[in-house]
Amino acid sequence: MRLINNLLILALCLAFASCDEMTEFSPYDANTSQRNQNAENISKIQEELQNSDSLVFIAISDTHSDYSDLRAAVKAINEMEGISFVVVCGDITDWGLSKEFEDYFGLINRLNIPSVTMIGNHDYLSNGKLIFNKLFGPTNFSFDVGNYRMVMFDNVVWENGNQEPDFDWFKEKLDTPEGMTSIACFHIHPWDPQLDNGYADRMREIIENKPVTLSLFGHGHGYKTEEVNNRKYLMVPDISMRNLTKITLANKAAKFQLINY
Amino acid sequence: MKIQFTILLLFFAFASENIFGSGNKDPKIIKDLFSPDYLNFQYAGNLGLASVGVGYLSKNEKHNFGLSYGYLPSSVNSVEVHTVSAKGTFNFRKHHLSKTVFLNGYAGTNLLRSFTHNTYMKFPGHFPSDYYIANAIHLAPFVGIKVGSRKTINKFSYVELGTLDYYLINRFKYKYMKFSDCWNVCMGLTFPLNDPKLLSGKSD
Repeated sequence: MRLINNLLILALCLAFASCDEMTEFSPYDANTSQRNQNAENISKIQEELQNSDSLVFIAISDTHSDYSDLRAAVKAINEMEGISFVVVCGDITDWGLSKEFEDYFGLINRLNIPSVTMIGNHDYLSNGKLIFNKLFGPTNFSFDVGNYRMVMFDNVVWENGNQEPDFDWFKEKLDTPEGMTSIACFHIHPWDPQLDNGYADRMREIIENKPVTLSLFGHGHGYKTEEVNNRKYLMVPDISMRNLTKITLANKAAKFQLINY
Repeated sequence: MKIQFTILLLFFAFASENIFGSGNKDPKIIKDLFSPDYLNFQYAGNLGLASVGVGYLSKNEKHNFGLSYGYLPSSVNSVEVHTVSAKGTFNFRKHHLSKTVFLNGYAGTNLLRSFTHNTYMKFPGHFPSDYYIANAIHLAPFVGIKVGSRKTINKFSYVELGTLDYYLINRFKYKYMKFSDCWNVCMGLTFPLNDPKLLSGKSD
C-alpha cells in the first residue's frame, strides 16, 4: 500500500512538474512574459524615421478586453500602407490583471509595425501599474522622431492614489529644441472630473505655452475634436467603435482621419 | 520556479512518509482539538505561492467544503497578495485502484477574497459611487483528481486545474482565444484530523 501510494504521489509530482508553465500563484500576480516593450519599439520607430519631416501614425484607445475588436484593428492596420507606428492611448485592460495584459500584448504584438502603449485608469487597478512598468516601461515617457517629440503623459489621478500627475515632467518634456514640435498624448481627457482640482487647467496652460501641434487622448470612448487657443485636441474613439484614427503630421501641422474597418 | 519545485518535491516526500506511514498519532486527541476533518496544504493555484486551510467531508462523501488562507510574498514577483478562500467540491464516483488506494475526480469552485494593491470590495471615497464594481472577489472554478488511502479517507494528495470567472467568460466570449490558456495547475495534500474510518479503526 505504502509503495503504491508513494508511487502515485510521485506520479502527481511529475505531472505537476511537466505543467511548470501553467503554474500561477494569483490572478493579482505581476509576472510578465516580456519586458520594456515600449523602449524596444521606440528604437525601431527611431531607426526607421530619422530626420523625417512628415509622420503618419494610427491612434487607438480603450481596447480594454474587447479582444475581437482589437484583433480586427490589428488586421486592418497590417493591411494599410504608409503607417509608421501605432499609439495606444491606454485602458488596455478592465481590471489590471496580468492575464489581461498578456492577452492584449499577444494581439498587439501581431502588428507588422511598432506600437507604443500608454497606461489608462483601468490599467492601474490591482497591481496593474507594476505589470505595466515591467511589460512596457515607465508610465511617463517621451521619444523624438524626426522633427516631432511624442510626449506620453500619465495623467491618471483617482486610481493612482488620488495623486497629482507629474506636471513638472510634462512641462519639461514639452520644452522642445527649436525646430521641433510636440504631440502630447495622455489617457484622461481634459473634461473628465478626474482632472478637476485645477489639473485640467494646468494641463491646458502648459500645452498652450509650449509648441504642441496636437493633444491626443482616449478615455471618453467617443470621437471628438476641439481647437482652443490655437491648440488642437483629439479624442480617439474606443476600439469597439471599429474606427482607427489616422494622424498625419507635416510642416508642424496635424491632420486626422477616421477610418472605419 | 525550479527551486520552488525542488522544495515542493522534498515536502511531498516528507509528507508521504508521514501521512501514509504507519502513523503513531492518536486520532481521538486530534479530533478533540479540531472539528474539521482534515488540514489542507496547497502549492500554487489562485490562492498564492502556498496556502493552508481546513476541510470537511460530507457524510455521503460526495462533497467537500474547505476554508483556506494563501500568501504570495513580494519576493516572487514584487507583489504581496493575501487570499482567503471558501472552497466547495463535488466528488465524482470513486475508483478503487487496489484494496488500499482510491482515485477520485472532482470539480468545484473557490470563492476568493484577495488583499493586495488597488483591490477593493468598496472603492475609496474619492471615486464616484458605482464607478467600479468590487475587484477583490472572484470565483475560481476547478477540476481535480485526488489519490488517497481507503483506510483513511481524509488523507489524500491532489492536483487541480483551476481558472478564474473572468478568464472563462472571456474565453467563451472570444472563441478564437486559446481555451487552454486560462487554466493553471496546483497541487496539495491533506492531513486527517477527524476521519470516521480512522477513528473507528475500520477499513474498507
